[in-house]
Amino acid sequence: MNNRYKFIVGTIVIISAVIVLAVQGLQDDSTMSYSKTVSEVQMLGERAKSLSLKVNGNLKKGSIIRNNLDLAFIITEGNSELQIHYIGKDPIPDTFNNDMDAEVVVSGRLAANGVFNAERIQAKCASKYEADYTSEPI
Amino acid sequence: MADLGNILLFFLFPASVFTALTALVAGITKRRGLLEAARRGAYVAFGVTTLAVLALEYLLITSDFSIEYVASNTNLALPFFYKIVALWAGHNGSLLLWTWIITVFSAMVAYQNRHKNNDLMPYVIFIMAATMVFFSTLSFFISNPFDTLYQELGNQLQEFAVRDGRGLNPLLQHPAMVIHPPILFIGYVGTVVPFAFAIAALITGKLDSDWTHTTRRWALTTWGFLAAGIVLGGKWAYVELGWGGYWSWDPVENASLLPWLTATAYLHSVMIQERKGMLKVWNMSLVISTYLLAVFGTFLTRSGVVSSVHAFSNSGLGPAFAIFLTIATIFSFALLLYRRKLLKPDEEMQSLVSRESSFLFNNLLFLLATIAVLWGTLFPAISELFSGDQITVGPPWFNNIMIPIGLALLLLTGVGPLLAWRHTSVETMKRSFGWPILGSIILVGILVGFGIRDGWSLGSFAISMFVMWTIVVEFVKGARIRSRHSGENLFKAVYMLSRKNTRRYGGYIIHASMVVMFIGFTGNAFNSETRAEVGEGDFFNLGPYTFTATQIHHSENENYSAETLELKMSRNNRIITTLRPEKRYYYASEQPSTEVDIYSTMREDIYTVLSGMSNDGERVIVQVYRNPFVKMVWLGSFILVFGTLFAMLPNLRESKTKNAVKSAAQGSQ
Amino acid sequence: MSYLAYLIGILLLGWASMPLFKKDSTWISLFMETEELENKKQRVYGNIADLEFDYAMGRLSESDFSAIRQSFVSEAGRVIQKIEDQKSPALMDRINQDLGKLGKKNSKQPKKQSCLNCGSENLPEAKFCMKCGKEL
Repeated sequence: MNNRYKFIVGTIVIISAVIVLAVQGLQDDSTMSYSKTVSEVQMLGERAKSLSLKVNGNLKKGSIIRNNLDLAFIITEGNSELQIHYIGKDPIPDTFNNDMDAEVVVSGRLAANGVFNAERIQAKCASKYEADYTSEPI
Repeated sequence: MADLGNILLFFLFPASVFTALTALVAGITKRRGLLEAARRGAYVAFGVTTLAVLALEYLLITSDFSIEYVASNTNLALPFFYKIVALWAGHNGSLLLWTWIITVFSAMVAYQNRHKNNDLMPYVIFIMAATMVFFSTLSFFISNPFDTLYQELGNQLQEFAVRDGRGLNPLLQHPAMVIHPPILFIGYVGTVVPFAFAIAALITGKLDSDWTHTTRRWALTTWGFLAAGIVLGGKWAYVELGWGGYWSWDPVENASLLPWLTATAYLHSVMIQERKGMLKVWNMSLVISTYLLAVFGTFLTRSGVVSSVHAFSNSGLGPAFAIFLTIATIFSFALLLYRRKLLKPDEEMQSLVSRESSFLFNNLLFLLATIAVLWGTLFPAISELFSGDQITVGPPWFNNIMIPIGLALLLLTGVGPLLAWRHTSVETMKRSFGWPILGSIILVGILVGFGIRDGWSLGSFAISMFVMWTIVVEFVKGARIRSRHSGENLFKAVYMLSRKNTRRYGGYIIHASMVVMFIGFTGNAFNSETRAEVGEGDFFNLGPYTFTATQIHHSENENYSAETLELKMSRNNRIITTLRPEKRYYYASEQPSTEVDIYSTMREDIYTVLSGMSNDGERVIVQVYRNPFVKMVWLGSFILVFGTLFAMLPNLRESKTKNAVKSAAQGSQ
Repeated sequence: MSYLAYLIGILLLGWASMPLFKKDSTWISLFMETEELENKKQRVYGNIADLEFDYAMGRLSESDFSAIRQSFVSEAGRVIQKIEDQKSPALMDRINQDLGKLGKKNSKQPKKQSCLNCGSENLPEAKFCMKCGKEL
């Protein structure tokens, strides 16, 4: 019986340690990001500035401005627009350029001036697998 | 040829239904003829699928652009080798490959056991054939790779062909890395074999150790392929995705890790079942979970439930997979519940400080790791269900949990093997652990002296030292005892010792490989990077190195055009190497692609990316990462594969006794 | 081309279903108690081998080692005793005897008749001896 208790105590200690780690991880809001679209961000209003966000939108064609290492662009969804300033360090994705009709996910925070400071950019290319072949010559 | 392939692929469906039915009836009636028919059914399924795969390969190689799959994944200028591997570049083709692998395994299992395990085999074949029925349905009726291109003309559909295809995804155009999907598939599909035997054992009630013995090699092979597939996936991300790392807790990476975690737990706990007759229900649950998680991983990459760099675009297979998974889960666990009385343990746990209990805690940690990774992966879906907000948990959350669990498991690899079965006294523990602990303390002292203050890293290095020490001592001590009796020298004794119990020493080799890999993982804590915009002749620094942009040039071939930066790397004015990161533009797929260049040594990787370019092509943005110990991860994975192969060798002793018996028999004649 | 594919498919399926039409037999599955005991014996032997290895590697104190070994050895003894019991000649004789009695009771087989002339055995319903040809 004695051994049984020891096992149970050991098991409980380990399980609770892991639960503590999991919950603790969720307290730190830098690890949690809310997935939103551009219009949803605007609906959130002031609350948006307190959250870490992952914003989904379409790159506005021709909006990319590069200045040395600086990068700024606009993403849209319907009539909503969001100004993005890239402050991250990682290289930006291959599919990300002015000619491309790309769907973009930016991760970061909304600054007080309404510009979104992105730490990470992910581009989903308009998938060629779904491309329309009917326009091709036979 | 497309017709031929399509019809042969169609025949997989009746063949697998035939196999499943005859196998099931054979199990109930125990008629030999039915079992033989089921076995042949498995061979036929393998035959027709193989021919279908060959037909698709033919279409890919000959660039038949009337086939949608061929047009979407290859182009005329694509090198021959990539045309072949385009088989698994897209969703439909890779699903066919998945299906083919399971037919291969079914045929192999049916053949291996043609004179054995008569009671289990009908149900084993039935389970595998049932899985085949599901996959053949998907790959013929829903995601058929032989579909032709067609367009609507009025009310009619008209087939047509394009002049050139859209080309292979540039991310897959890397000679070594194209092999990672099939390796992972073999690992995924392999989980079905132990699963089928476990379920067969549950159905027949033959729950002694037969099924674990029969599937031991299969379980180990599957585990090895899963491990190799995961590491190769990481390596692929490292060299292709260009963000300087190999693991980002991406949903698809997690999905491949999950079955590996439960499979690892199983490989350990099955030893307790063999020795003590305990944990029978638990082992069953692990085998079942491993299979379900493998199917779940396949589902995750194809359903569009989560977004991932590794995933295929949404294929519409989500609901089908969800139904299959639900049925399989309910069926397996209901069966387990039904048979729980037959799975009573033969013995009770004796002592907290024993080998058994170290296995138990090992299993507990693997279970918690599995739950944590699953929870984190599905958190976006879970949170949306409860709060309406889709919340993603990032890598810090995973690291926060998985680093402590990982280190605890690593510590157990050092402690566990040194504990005796049943009971270990404090005295003997002092003897076993004294020196390794002292060694680790000294190592920490030295590292602190060198200025390393990060607690987790120090912990990781200390545990690595401890575990490595204990493993080496295991080999040396065992060899010494052996050479005392046999008079062999130490090296010969180490060899003979490990060949006599390949499972134990193969296991130790795998433990050592984990240590090596953990050193590599720990290197992440010391990564550094810089970014610079340079023109020809400019230079910048990172750590002790100076990088000089010597040349920026343009080149073209029929597949792509490329901008290349020549970056001279030097230290104290001594040139070390020249790195050539590239930016490519693939014509067929109209996609740009970044080709990193890495200078890799045991100590560190210097990883360069050409991340941007000014419009006039005169200046480029270059990103340089300095990642210590990354090579240890790849080295560790080689050791892991070696250890796995070693563990599968037959024990030397067995063959020796066989010979002895033979010669004794001959002598007496 | 597609006819070829249909032909291949149908031929292969036909080949697979051939055993269904052959004369068939069933296999008998036995849950042998001895088999289970045999497994148990192997497991105890494995445990003893492990224990000896652990001791040789210095993971056990001598007193622990001899105590645990003793318990394993007696366990092995018990298992072997059970196996032996099942195969013991006395037990077999007893079973055979019982079977013999059972056999006599149930036997309706008429005795064979022997020829009065030459002494060779003949079937009960025979009219003439098959060796010498005399009437029985």
